Parts: sequence; C-alpha cells; structure tokens
Amino acid sequence: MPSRLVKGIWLGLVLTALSAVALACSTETEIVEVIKEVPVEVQVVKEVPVEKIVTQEVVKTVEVAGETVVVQKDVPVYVTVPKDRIVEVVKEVKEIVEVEKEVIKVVEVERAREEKVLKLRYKEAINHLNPFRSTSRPHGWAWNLMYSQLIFKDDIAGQWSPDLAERWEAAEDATSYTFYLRKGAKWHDGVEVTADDVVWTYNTALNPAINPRPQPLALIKGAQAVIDGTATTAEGIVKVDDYTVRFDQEFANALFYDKCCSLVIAPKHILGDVAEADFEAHPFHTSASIGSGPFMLDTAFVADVGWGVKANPDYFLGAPLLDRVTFEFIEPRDALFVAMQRGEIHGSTYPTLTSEMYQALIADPRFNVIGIQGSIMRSFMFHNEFEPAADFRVRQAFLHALDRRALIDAFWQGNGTPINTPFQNPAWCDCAEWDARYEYNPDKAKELLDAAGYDYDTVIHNKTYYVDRGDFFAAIQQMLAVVGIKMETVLQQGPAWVEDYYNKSDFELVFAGFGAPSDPSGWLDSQMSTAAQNGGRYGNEELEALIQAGKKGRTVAERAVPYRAIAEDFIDRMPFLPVFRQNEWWFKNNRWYQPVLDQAGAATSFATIEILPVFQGGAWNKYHPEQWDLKPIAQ
Amino acid sequence: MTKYIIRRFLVFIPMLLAISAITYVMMVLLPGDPVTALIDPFSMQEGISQEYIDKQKERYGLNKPIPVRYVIWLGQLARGNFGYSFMTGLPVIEMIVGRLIPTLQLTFTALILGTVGGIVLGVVAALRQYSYYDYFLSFISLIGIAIPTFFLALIALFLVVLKVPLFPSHGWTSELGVYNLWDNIYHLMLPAFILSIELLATSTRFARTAMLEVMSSDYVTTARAKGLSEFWVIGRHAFRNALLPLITISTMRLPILFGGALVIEQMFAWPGMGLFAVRAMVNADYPVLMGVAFITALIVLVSNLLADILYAVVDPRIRTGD
Amino acid sequence: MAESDSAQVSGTGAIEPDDNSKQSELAQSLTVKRTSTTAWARFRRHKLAMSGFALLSAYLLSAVFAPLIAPQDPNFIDLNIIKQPPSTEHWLGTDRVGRDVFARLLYAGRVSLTVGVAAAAISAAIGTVMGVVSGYIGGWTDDLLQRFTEIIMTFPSLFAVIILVGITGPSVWNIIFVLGGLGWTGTVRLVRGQVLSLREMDYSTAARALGASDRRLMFRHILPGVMPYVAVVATLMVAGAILTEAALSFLGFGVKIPTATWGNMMQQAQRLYVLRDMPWLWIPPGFVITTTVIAVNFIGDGMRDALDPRTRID
Repeated sequence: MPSRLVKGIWLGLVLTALSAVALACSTETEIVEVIKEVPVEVQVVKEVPVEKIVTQEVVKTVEVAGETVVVQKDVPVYVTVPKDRIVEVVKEVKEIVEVEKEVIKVVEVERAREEKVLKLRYKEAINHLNPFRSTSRPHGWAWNLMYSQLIFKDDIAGQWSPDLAERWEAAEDATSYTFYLRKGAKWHDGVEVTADDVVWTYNTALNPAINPRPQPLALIKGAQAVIDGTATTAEGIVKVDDYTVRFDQEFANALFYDKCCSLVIAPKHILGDVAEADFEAHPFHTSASIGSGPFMLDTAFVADVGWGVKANPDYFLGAPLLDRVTFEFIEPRDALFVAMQRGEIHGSTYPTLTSEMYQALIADPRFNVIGIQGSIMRSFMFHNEFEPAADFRVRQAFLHALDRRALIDAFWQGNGTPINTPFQNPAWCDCAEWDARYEYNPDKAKELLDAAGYDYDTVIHNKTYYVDRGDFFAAIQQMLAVVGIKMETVLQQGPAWVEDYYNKSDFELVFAGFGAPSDPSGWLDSQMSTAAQNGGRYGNEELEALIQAGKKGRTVAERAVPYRAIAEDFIDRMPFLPVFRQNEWWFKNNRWYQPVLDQAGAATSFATIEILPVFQGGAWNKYHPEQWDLKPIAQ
Repeated sequence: MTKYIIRRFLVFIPMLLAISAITYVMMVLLPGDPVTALIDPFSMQEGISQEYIDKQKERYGLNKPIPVRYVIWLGQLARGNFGYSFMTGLPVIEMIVGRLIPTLQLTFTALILGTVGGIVLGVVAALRQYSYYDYFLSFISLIGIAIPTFFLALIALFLVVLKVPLFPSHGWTSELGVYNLWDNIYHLMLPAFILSIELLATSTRFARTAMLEVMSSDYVTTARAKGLSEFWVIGRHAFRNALLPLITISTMRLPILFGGALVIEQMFAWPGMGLFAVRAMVNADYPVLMGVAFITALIVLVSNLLADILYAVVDPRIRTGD
Repeated sequence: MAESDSAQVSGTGAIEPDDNSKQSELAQSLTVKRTSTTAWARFRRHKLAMSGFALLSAYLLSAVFAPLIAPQDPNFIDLNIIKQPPSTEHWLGTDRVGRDVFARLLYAGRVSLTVGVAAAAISAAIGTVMGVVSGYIGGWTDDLLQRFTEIIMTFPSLFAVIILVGITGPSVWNIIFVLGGLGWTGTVRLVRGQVLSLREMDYSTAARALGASDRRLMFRHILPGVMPYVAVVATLMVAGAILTEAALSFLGFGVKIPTATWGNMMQQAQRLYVLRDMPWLWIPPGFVITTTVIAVNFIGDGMRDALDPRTRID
C-alpha cells in the first residue's frame, strides 16, 4: 500500500476528528436574530416653488397594492408595505386661495414601518379549515383568529365574555337561553352577521353528515331528530328577531354554555346553499374561508405547508394591532428550535419541546415559558373484559408499582402531578385524599396481586400511540417487572390505535393522553357511555343512567349526586388509571404580546414557570386576538 | 429509432397498470380508514357519531368489495381523478400538484448537482490518480456514502444555520405565499446539497473508476499514439465513453433520491411530496398516499424512458441489439 | 495454501456420477479456480479490503459475544444516573434514561448487523434466482421478470419500505423481510447480465455439446460463475440495509426502542443539544455505522478487484 494513501486517510481521519471535537466543544449557541432589513426613508424635503397656497392637508398619496393611504401634512405616516411595493403619487391639490410665491414643504413618507407579522409554527394534523369538522384542538387557532362564537371562555376574567352576542340570559329553570347579537358585526365580505347565520350554523352542526360530533348539542329541543335524520331543523333553535336567538332545551340543561357555545358561527349566505354531498370539498375550507373574526384568510391553506391570515380592519372590536399572522409547518423539534432561536418564528401552536430546549429558552431573555393549567391526563386503561386484570386489586397494584414522581421527573421535566381520579372537581371528589392513594409501594403491590391470585405468567400488551416515548414505557415495564407484572408495549401510529381502541375495542391495556374534563359529562360520553364507542367496555346500564342523570342536574349540587356515585365507584375499582395530570408549557418570543400569556412572570427555572389558571379548560388563544401585538426588536 | 421508442411505450402501459394494482393492494392492507383519520388521539374529546361514520364510508365507497373499489379507483384515475383526501376532503390531485414543483426542484437539483459534481470530481481524481487530492476525495466520498442523511442534515442545521446563519432553517420561501425566485433558490440550496451528497459520492467513485478504465484502454492508447493532443484524447475519446453509463446510473438513482427526499423534506420543512407522504402515512390518509406513490412512480418511469431514449440517441448500438 | 483450496473445491465438484463428469469437472475447476483461488490471494493482498474485513469481523464478534463483553444490561434503566459522561463504570457514559451506552452499542450491533446481513442475504437469494432464471431461460419469462424488476425499481425505495413497514409493523424481522424483499433489483440485473455472457462462454457451450442438462448447466456451471459477483453486490447491500434502517428510525418507522439498533441510537441522539453537549451519545453509534459502511465498501472493492484481474491492486 503506497504510503501516500495511508497519509491521505490519516489526513481525512484527523480532519474528521477535529471537526467532531470542534462541534462537541463549541460554546453556547450565539444569539442570532435575523432582522429583516426595513427600508427607512430619510425625510426628504423637496422645495417646490408654487404660486398657490395649498389649504387642504392632502399633500401626497401613497398607493399601496390597491389601497390608498392618505398622508396628512406634518404627520409622520407608517406604511405597512416594503418600499419597493410603494408607488408614490404626488398630487397637487387644486383649491386656490391666494396667488403668491411661496415655498412649501412636501412631507414625505417618514419611515416605512415594518409590517407586523406574527409567525407561528404548527405540526399537527390540521388539514383543512372546515368549521364543522374540527378534528383536533389546533383547529382552534384558525377559528379563534378568523371566526366568532356567541360567547367565549375568557381566561383573564375567568368567565364567559361577549363575542358576537353582546349580552345573553338564561331562563330561571335553565330550559332556555337567549342571545342578543351585536349590531354591525360583519362577515369578511361585508355582509352583516345576523340571527339567520346563528340559526343556520347550529342546525347544520346537528347534521351528522357534516359534523362528526353533533352529540354535545343533542339536548336542544328537537336536536335528536335532526341527528337521527328525521328532521332538518331543530324546533329549539329559534330566531326571535334579526339580532336575537333563543335555544330551548329538551329539559333543564345547566351545561349549555359549556357544550354549545364554542361552536364558531359560519356564514349562511355562502354555505347555506351548498349541497350536503359537495360540502366537504367546497373551496371555502381551504381558500375561501369567510368568518367574522379579527383576522381574515390571506394565504390560502395548504395542508402541511401553512396558511396565513391578515388583519380585518372592520372587526367589530376594532382593527387588530398585528398586520398578519402566518402558520408555518415545521415538524422536527430541532428545526422548530433553530427557527425560534433565529427569530424566524415567534411561537408554536403545540407546546412540546425537549427539556434541554425548554432550559435554553428559559435561560434566554428573549423567550419565556408559560404554564397553562393542566388539562391532560396521561392514563392507562384496562379493557374491562381482560381477564387477568378483572380483579380491581390488580389494577390498584398496577399503580402501586409505579414510581410516578420519578417517571414525571425523568420523562416530563417534572411537569405533572400524580392523580387517581379523572373527576377533579371538589363537588364530587375528595381529591386530596383520593389522589394520595396508590402511592409508590412495590410491597403493597405484591400483596394485592397475591391476594387477587394474579397469574404472574400473563404478559399484558399495552397499546399506545406515543411512538417516540419508547423509553418511558421501558421504564414503566421495568417498575412493573419488580412486582412481577410482565408488560409489553405495542407502539402504534395514531389511526391504527384509534381503530383498535375506539372502533374495534381490541386491546388489553392502552396508554393515552385523555383530555381532563372541566365537567365530567363530555368525558364520560366519549369514553364510558354505551351510547358512543365505549372503547374500554366499562360502560353499562347503571353507569349510563348516572351519566344521563348528571346531564340533567340544573345546579352543581344536583349534578354532584350522580357524579359522586360514579367517582366513588371509580376510585375503588379503578377502571381508568390516571397516571398523572399535566400542565402545558407554552413558549414564546417575548416580542409577541399576548394578553393571557403575558400575565406570567419570566421563568428562570422549571420550578418558577408560572402556571396560569384557565376558565373551564378555556383556550387562551381565543382571548382577543385583535389585542395581540409584536413589539419591535430590542436594540 | 421510432420503433424502439414505440416498443418502449407499449411496455409502459401494462407497467403503469401493474404499479397501480400494487399501490392499491398496499393501501388496502394498511390499517385505519377515513373515520379513524378524523380522530386525533392527542386531543380526543368527544366520540364520533355512527351516522357520520356510515355517511363517510358511503362517500368514500368503503362499503364495496375491494376489487370493485380498485376498478372504480382505476376508472377515476383514467379521468385524472385521484379521489378525495380523508383528512381534508379535497381532491388529491389538486393537493399533489402543489407539491410537485418543490419536490421536482429538490430532487432534480440534487440529481444534477450529484451527477455533474461527481463527474467533475471523479474525472479530476482519475487524471491525478494517486495524488493526495485523489486519496482525499476517495476518503471524503466514502464518508459521504457512510453517514446517514438525516445526521448530515442535523449537523448542517447546527453549523450553517444556527451557529453561522448562512442558510434559512425551513420552508420553501421566507414569507408564506410570497414567491420570489432568489429567495426560493436561497432556501433550496442547503437541502438540495445535502440530498445530493450520497449521489455525489457514488458518482465521483463511478466516474473515477470508469475514467481510469477508459484511459488505460487500447483505443485511448491508439489515439495518443496517433499524436492527438492530451486535451483532445481526454475530452473527445475517454470522457465520452467513460461517462455514457452515468446517464443510466443517474436516472436509476431517481427513486432513491425521492426516498431520500422524505428525510430531507421532513428536516427542512420543504413542502414537497415526501413530507406530504409521510404526513399522509401517519394520518392514514390513503387516497393521498396512493396518489403520491402513483405519481412518483410515473415520474420515475417517464424519466427512465427518457434516459433510455437519450441513451439510444447517443449510443446507436442500443437501438439494434438488446 | 491457495492450491489446496482449489483442490478441495474442484474435488467436491467431481463426485457427481455423470457420463460427462470428466469434462464438466475440467470446465468447473477452471471457473472455480479463476474466481476462488487466485481471487482470494488477490483479495488478501488488498490491504484496505483486509482491514475492512478485520474491522467487520471485530464488530461481528463483539455483537455475537455481546452478553460476555457487555458490562451492564443494555436495557436496564437507572433514573438516578441519566446522561452521564463516560467513566470507568460506564465506558461510553449513559443515555437519557441511565442505560449503559457501551452495552447498548454492543447489543445494537446484533440487531443492526442482523438486519444488514439477513436483508442482504434475502435480496441476494431472490436476485440470484430471478437473475439466473431470467438470463438462462430468456424469452417471455425473461421479459416478464425484467418488467417486474423495473416496476419494483420504480417505487421510491424508502417510500415503499415505509408503506410495507406500516402494514407489517416495525419489528426487526419485518424490517428485514421488507428490506430484503425490495432490495434485490440491482442483483437481478447484474446476475442476468453475467448469465447471458457466461452462457455464451466456451465451457458452457462445451458442456452443452456434451449433453449436460439445463438444470445441471444452470446450477453447476452458471451459478458458480455468478456467485462471486453476487457476493460483491450482497456485501454492499449490507451497508445499504444498515443505512436504510437508520433512515427508517429517523422517520419514526424503524425498530422501536427499548430494542437498540445503531440507527435508533443515533436517531435518539439527533438533538441539537445532544450534538453539542453529549457527544458520547452520538459519536459511538455514528462512528460504528460509518466505519461499518466504509469497511463493507472496502471489502466490496477488494472483492471486485480480486475478481477482475485487469484491475490493479494497490
């Protein structure tokens, strides 16, 4: 072998090693912020000899992509478009007062203000903007920015606040609700929003061919008939006059606001005549969305690429401070993190990062991490007909075997609280006492297993869609193995899991993130009710009766009776094993002003991340988007 | 020549049919359906009504037997209708068309970069055989083949995006919906280069070997003996003969590049078909997946055809024999 | 040494009780001698190939004897010692959940090398059979097989792999079968080409003239002739399969943790912060993957050069 070959290879190896070392030793990431060059025009003073004195203020107009901005004398003007898109048209004003030779100043555009574009990253399965088909929480971003509801969950005031309806009232016996719409609210195409739109929206939302989830509305009088297809409109949805809508209920329905008022109102004058078969493929859902919210569709929606909205100057609560908001698709967390660091995006629509990334954001004064009161329960659930775990002592032992605190610290940055009951309302839960049960105690777990006569040869197959959390389950398996429970984890993609859990009820054990209910009825409906999929097969007539009774309670005290019965059954028999409840850790660039998130102080460590309370699991991103702002880059 | 092209075309049609059948069978075997595609397990709240499930199944024709569904799908396909996406309810073809340009941009830039770059590097290496340059290049091209693409992408993200901000981190353009050619090319450079590295390395090695082989062959010796200038010998005789096979090699790499684009598009949020396909796969959006599989196969098939024809044009021996 | 090798091979070739045994033995010993004896000698003189061979053998051995070498259980999680740098106790440090990286690397080698070797073997087997059949029989069989090969080649490789893994589920053996089942296209073309040329060679013509049956000709004359070439391609496919498995891991369709593979160890480490702060998590699997692929390439080069006497040996 020629010695030069050897030298060449050594040279290469040394270079590689050096670059690896350089990579490994390189210091803290530099703060790099990409600042878009803003064309700043100096004040141009042009001396124009004129023989006429101008009395009117109009000195110059600046034409911007079809709009005309009137520039007033001596008033600095901000134009929201880059310089090269501005066409200057200097107009002489005709009104003549005196004939005299004088020099006047032409006030030029002083400084083109940078357009305020809030850029957010998204990665979820949001693939359309069909307001009736919101399949996932992230759709909320679209609805909250572009659409209005009757009333909304106000996280700062901690109550329902006016949106399209300026006031509303409930009948004494909770059988009827009346909403008074504000006058002058307009769709993005200029048509006025009236009671007709509201009535049409609610009736359409009952059509199961258009809305996959009509059930929450089923308590409106006549709604069930529409859902069943025997009627086209529900008699309980009543247009009183052009600005008043009344919802009559089948029976006293204290949960009406919670269940019905998050529906976004869609424009009847556009969608009203679309045939049912054409509804889903209608361009409205991608490129022609028309709402009545503070922003309107700007860049047509393209699945997995993004979409953008621009300010609606005619918004009924005033024009938004931001000019545009764009949503850009970025999948890997590293790419997201780099884009955050570079200021290319200001936040994310989904709050998950690795602990190192959270740590870096906390340490950086440009960013903040804000906790939102937890609404996610990471939980196990055994299939009710899975024989080896039929004895409730086995299920109790399962929890005793898990060192939940250690799991939370190691895998979820310490963000989580062990709980044992999904019903976290003190009205029907002795939460402090209940959640202290089933502490980490392997010896107790073994005792319980022995007492239940557990067959230690059983291998439990746990199905879950947390495909990238293999280590978490490996740790759980190791803890279970200590007490003699053999568990194997089957990692599935989301749809396959949904099919097994919901549609086929084909599993022994599942692990999932369940939305923690503000009120148990919705959660019970979706997970335990025999009227729905009842994936775990725990639902039965007795439980169903309690669920229905809970819905009919007019007051908390009335509902507490059936709910307490359910909760007490659950805490002993543990058909559902909540492992822990989690807060969401949102993060954002501090340039972005968001009234709810900006209530929180600056976090300096995981422990000092401020947890903000929300109203009934409300959505902070619904809070007055027109007030959001983008502060200038700090020099 | 015409006969050759016609013959190639005749083979083309049954192949297309076979591809469609294979694609369809694969989709039918995958778990999940439009109904499960509606439920996002990460934020599941309420159950889905049975009526909606039934209506959707009817709408997508899922209540018919599989062969019937295939024939219907094929019939629609012939009319350019790829069906409707489960996730968006939109026509698949519309969704794909938007992705075609970014993907073709990425893969063909990588293809050209890899092939041309590889030829240049390989030929230079061959001409300076056993020099430091030659050994260093061989070593680097080995490394290029040996490091997983996703890791190269991550290192690039770290070094030339975060540390030294030479390139943008993600996307096709910097402003959503605002297209600017230079901006687009600026975004294209890094992903295309990383995607091309494997091909670059392979074709460098190939070009080097082929060039060496030709350089030592009889007719090059003859050409030299005739007293032709070295430039003429290399340019006219050696180069041409050594690199003809690269046409085929490069087009055969196209499917691999499309595969590699899956990774690159994911990493750089490049809105192409690879990204689209992975998302469709994760969301069980099978009409989209079928459309993408079919379209990419079609592109590969067409470019193979073009390469064959090109080859036949350049090298007359192909036309007669086989 | 080289001579006795050749004697053995040609010796076994002569046992067949056949009328034409003498002639066919002669023909075969010629082939085998050309491709085996001198080739091995040439291969041994190929220093890079030999060092690649040594490295790969070392990796294979350490994977096989992982339970003896590994100081710790590769899957034992200890949440008290997470992300620790290399120490005397943990030679390559610990990962995000306190598992020993060195032990995982060894056990990952078992999976990754199995994936590589088994997938390559399956591909080579399918490719050889189809190539020989296609090239030897010719006619419409050849046409059909060639079109089929073209169809498989048309699908973007990784894309098809993902769909198939989606159907079968991402277990180690499923991934092996999928990779093996899709990776044979290159082999078919190569083998077919070789068969076509071998078929026309003097010794085949001679054997045929002497009345050797088709099957005999195919398996005793043609097949040994193409095997060395298949070996070269198969070697290179080992590298391809290992890299594809890594890419699958990146896209979330690979072998799932806690089962370690070199690919998913690297995928786990592919975080910007790991890259900078925890080099012990990415350098070992990265080094092993890269050196394996390089070693395999050297071996392939060596084999190719050894088989082709025209090539200079460095």
